[in-house]
Formats: sequence, C-alpha cells, structure tokens
Amino acid sequence: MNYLRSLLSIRYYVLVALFAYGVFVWAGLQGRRLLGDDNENPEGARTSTARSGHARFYHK
Amino acid sequence: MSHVPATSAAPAHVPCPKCHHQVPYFDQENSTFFVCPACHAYFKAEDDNAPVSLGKFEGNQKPVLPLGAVGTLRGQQYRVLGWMLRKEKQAIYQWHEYMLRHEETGIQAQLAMYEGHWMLVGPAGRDYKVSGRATSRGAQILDEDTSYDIYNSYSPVTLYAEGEFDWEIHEDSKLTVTEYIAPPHMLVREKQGHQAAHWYRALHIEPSEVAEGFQVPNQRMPFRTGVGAIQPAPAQNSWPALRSFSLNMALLVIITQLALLFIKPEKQVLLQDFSTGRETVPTGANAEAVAAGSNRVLVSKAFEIEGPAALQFALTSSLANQWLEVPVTLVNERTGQRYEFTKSLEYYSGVEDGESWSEGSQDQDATLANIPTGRYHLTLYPVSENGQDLPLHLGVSQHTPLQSNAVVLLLLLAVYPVIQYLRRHSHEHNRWANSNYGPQDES
Repeated sequence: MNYLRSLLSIRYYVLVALFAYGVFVWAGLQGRRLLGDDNENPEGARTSTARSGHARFYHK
Repeated sequence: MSHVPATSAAPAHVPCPKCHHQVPYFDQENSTFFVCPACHAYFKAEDDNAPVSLGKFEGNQKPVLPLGAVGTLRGQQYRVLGWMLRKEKQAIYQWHEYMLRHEETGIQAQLAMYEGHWMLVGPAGRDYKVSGRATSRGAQILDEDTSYDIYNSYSPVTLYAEGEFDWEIHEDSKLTVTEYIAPPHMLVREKQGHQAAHWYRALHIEPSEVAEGFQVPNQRMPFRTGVGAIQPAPAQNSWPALRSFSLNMALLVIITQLALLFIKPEKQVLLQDFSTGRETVPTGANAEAVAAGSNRVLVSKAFEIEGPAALQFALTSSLANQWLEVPVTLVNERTGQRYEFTKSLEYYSGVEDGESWSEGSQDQDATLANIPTGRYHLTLYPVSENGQDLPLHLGVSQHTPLQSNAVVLLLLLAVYPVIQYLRRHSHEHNRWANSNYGPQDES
C-alpha cells in the first residue's frame, strides 16, 4: 500500500510505462515488431502476376 | 504578516556609549551585546552597568530581513533580532546569519544564507556521536537511518553586524564549526578547545518561503547561485519510487519476453536449399526475368503459418568474392496476399601487404511481422554476377522472438529515470564542489 502511495509522485511516468508495457505485450502476441519489419510491400498487394527481375544491383 | 520596524516597536532602548543614540532592542531578558545602527559601534550593556564599547564595524551593509521584522517559517513565528556578515577565517566565503527569536517560546534560532541558499538552524537538543575524527575526511554521523557526511569545517569571523545578541560574537572566531549533511538536513557541531561540543540542527528553506514568510519583495532576495550545502537534489522525494518502479518494470519486461517464448514457441517451418543458376531455356514468366539479367525464378515448398506470427528468414550462401541479391516474395496461397523483401549477400576476401582481409557476409536475416494464419510459399528472384550458379540455403521460422521490442521498451522506460539520475548526479557534483571533503577531492 505504501509502495502504491509512493507511486503517486511519479504517476505520469507510471501511466506512460504501463501503456508502453501494454503495447509491448500486444505486439508480442500479435507478432508485430515495434521498429517495423523488412516488408517492402506494406500495402499487401494481392496480385498474383509474376514479377519482373530485380536486375538493379550495382557493385564495384 | 507585516514588517515591524525595530525603531518604533522595540520595547526597550539602550544608549550607545559612542554616539548616545538610543539603540532599540527586543529581548530584554537575554540581549547583552548591541550594535548601534547610527555609528555601528559594538558594545556590551549588561544589567544596570554602563555600556562598554567593544569596537566598531566598518561599512554600511544592508540586511535582507529588516531588524525587528516578524515572519512565519514552517508555521512558527520568529522575530529578527540581529544579523551578521561572516566569513571563514581561512577562506573568502561570506554568508549572512540572521538571529531569530521564537515569538512564543523565546528559543533562539538562526537563518543562514549563502549565495542565495537559506537554512533554518536551531538547537539540536542532544549530542551526536561522530564516527572517525570529527573534522577529518570520512567523518560521519549515523542518526537512526540517516547518515550525515562531513561537509565543511571552519572558524567564523564576523565582518559586520547589526542588532542585539546574547553572546560576544567575536568570540566565535575561537570556535571550530563542523557541518555534517544529509540533505535537506544538516548537523552543526560547535566546539571550542576542550570544552564540550554544542550541536545544532539545520533545515533547508527555499528562498520563496523566506520571502513569503517575512514579506520580502522578490527583487530584494539575493540571487541563488550554485547548489546549496543541503539543497535537496531534483526529484528528492520521488527518486526512490522512480528507481524501484523502473527496475520492477524492467524486470517485468524481461519476464514477459521470456514468457512469450513459451506462449508462442519458435518453430522452423521451412528449410530448403536452392541453386541460383540461369535457366538454359527460358520459359513462361521466367523468360522476362532472364532477359533482365536475372537467374532462374525459384519457388519454395509450401508451408503452414499459425498466425498472427513474426517470421524470421535466414539466407546463406557460399560466396567467394561474389555477390548475390535475393528478392523474396511470401505469397498466401489462399488470398494471394504478398509480402516482399530483398536481401543482398556479398563476401570478399584477400591478402594485401601480407595481411588478410575480408568484408561482407555470407548470410543475411530478414523479418516479416504480423503474418496471418495460412498456407504460404516463397518465390525467389535471385540475381548474381553473370548469372552465376550459387548455392542458397533458406530457413524460415515462425514466432521468432522479437527481442528488439523488449530492447525498445527497456530504452523507453529508461529515458526518464536516466535524465533524473543525471540531474541528481550533476546536482551532487556541484554540491560537493563547494566542500573540501567531497568525493572528487579524494586522491
């Protein structure tokens, strides 16, 4: 009880921390990466046509 | 609370032996030493004896708190009886001391002000035991759960004074005053020769409290500089809660991350080897890719995903001064939804001036997040120099642990505590920079 009372002095930090923790748990269960992933097709196009080649690689 | 001018409200007067000015005073019971406001003569007047001159103060300093003023500090009413400008005998530091009398009990107290930092000092009413030599580095006082560390030790010299006193203020230069701090509190030890020490207890007071309590306009209050000896550090009251809560949260995040490993265990869903060579006879859709300089299009075996899941892709190839670009498309076989990423593998090594070197990597990782449940396959469009035939090993696992999520949250949770820690650390550093007993002086 005393511990909870002591948290009143940092209540805004506690609220932000608990919210961030909630997002973390949700992201973990949903398999979401908070920093984003490597998907280059975020729109999730549903076309099934064969793509053209990626011959755009340059090197020394 | 209003000002009570000393000259009009003082209940008694004593004649100055130098200029015969009637010096007003308030404490008829105890005051025996006086400073004439007209000629600054310092004299003693006791009982019915004729006043005896003891010297004179030079200059015309002005106090922040007017003599005779009554003010309220921490709910207690005090009257200002006198003030002194003092310095350390062996140093240049100067400070003000205002002698106060508690209006109800008559007990004397003191307001000390150094560089705009105020503290209220009163008799401790008891003695304290100092561990170590009382005036040496490392001396400490343990009082219940509080540890007081030695902060300063000096002999005070009075440069200027006004008002009334119940002791010979010049005698204080024979004292050794030692201060021990546990902000916002201080214990003060006054000792003369082999006589028993007298103890006082001081409490930090904000300048605004003094200004409000004695109705002093803010512009008359001295500007506060640096950090006071017992000025509380930032977040003094909330720091213990902040420290324990943030550590508990960090522990909770780590436990949760470990729990997620059990709730959604990582599972390999595809492990397949490919060869990236060029088609000898381009057919169908492959023809377009081959024409663009790409290798053959590769299609993986189908695999099931239990979503929503994060997928981890591991691509490995045996490269020797070669490169391989691998665009990958994950295709949901039922809905046709596609996810794409491209990884470039390159690895170069050699020997130059007798030293071997290497750069690049033969493997790359990629992550696709929030993939729904379904049956999927991969389509790969590898590109290598001149269509070289290179081996490509591809592994896919679902429910890969998203360690970066935990790292991001831990960093986010640390921001505020770290800022407060740095502020407190800087505050303590500045506090001890004014002391000869600070940790930075240890060598």
